[in-house]
Amino acid sequence: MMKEAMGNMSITIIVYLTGYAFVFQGQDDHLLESLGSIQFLMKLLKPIVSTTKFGYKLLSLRQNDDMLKNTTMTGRLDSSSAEVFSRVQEILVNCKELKTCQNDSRGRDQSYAKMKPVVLYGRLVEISRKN
Amino acid sequence: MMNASERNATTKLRRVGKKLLKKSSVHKLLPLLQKLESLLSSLEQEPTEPIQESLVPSKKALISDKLLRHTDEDVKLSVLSCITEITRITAPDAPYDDEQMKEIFKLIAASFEKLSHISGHEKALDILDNVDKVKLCMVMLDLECNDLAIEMFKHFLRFIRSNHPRNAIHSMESIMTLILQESDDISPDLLRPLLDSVWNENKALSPMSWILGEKVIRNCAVKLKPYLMKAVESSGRALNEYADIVTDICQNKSESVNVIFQMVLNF
Repeated sequence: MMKEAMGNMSITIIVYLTGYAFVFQGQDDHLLESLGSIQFLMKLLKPIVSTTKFGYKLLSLRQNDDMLKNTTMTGRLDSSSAEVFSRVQEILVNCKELKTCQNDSRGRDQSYAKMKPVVLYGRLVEISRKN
Repeated sequence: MMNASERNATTKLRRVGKKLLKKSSVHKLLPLLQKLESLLSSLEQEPTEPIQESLVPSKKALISDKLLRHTDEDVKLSVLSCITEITRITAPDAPYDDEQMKEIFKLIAASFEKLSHISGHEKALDILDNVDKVKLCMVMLDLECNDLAIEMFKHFLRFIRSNHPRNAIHSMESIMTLILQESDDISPDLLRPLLDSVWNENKALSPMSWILGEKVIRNCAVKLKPYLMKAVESSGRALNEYADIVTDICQNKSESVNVIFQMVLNF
């Protein structure tokens, strides 16, 4: 087990990734204003996801929606947790926009030029297909 | 009007389909089935009407007792592999009626036992890939084949090997996650093999099974929460005899982490 002290945070988050546990603890209310801290957390959590696994991502999206509804309905999120989620969301959106700009500047990748629908039992999603 | 490629495909499909109905010996069937599988794998989904019509002889042959219940294991696996290719092509509509699909799912679940073999499990891997690719288990759940879902779980968690291709391991994870997430209710019998896989003593005995079980449980943490503690109590083991993720879910510690985790996944 590996512990990583991340300054001070008013909540405890335990993250398990392939057998490692990272614990963040602390009391500093200003920590959430630190972009670096949130970026570190995001980098820690970001897995490698294949760009062809759109179905999987949709499944994840569904899971995410269920989880958000679950936590909202039960009122279990404290204010600090809500702020963390908000910050993570903001950074994800910003990074996505940055990635979009980067892609535009390089021109469209030919391997994604052709989008072919893959029909699933129950849903229709698009995946990239190399020429 | 058909182009040359389509005309060629329809001609070959009809020819192979008709031959399948006539042949019965193993040494003649296997190359025919291999040829059919190759043809099917080259077809795209939502085929044109001429392609659909040319599939009919093969569809009939594959579902016939002569092939589906053939005594040779290699023939049966090849038949199943072809059938799952057909399910890929015809998605989102099942290619056979409900009773036929139930029979097919029984054979698919049984085929995953082949994953335990050191060699000769290639066809089982092909079947696994197709089942995952088009979320075929949605049909299985619609048909309420819950016992087959349990059988699949048992096979995956018992037979997963480090020498299985990464995409196969991912398919096992995806199929199990889908079944849990899409089930209206989760039975204790479905949870039992999962819990057994993340029993602490299993970590040393079967580390690949441990990892797979832990991933699936983590993927489905919110869904499992209402059921997991009861399953632990029924197991006769203490909560701390299982992987930490089980404790975290039962004690309501993992929700925040999983929400963030899923936000990142969606990115």
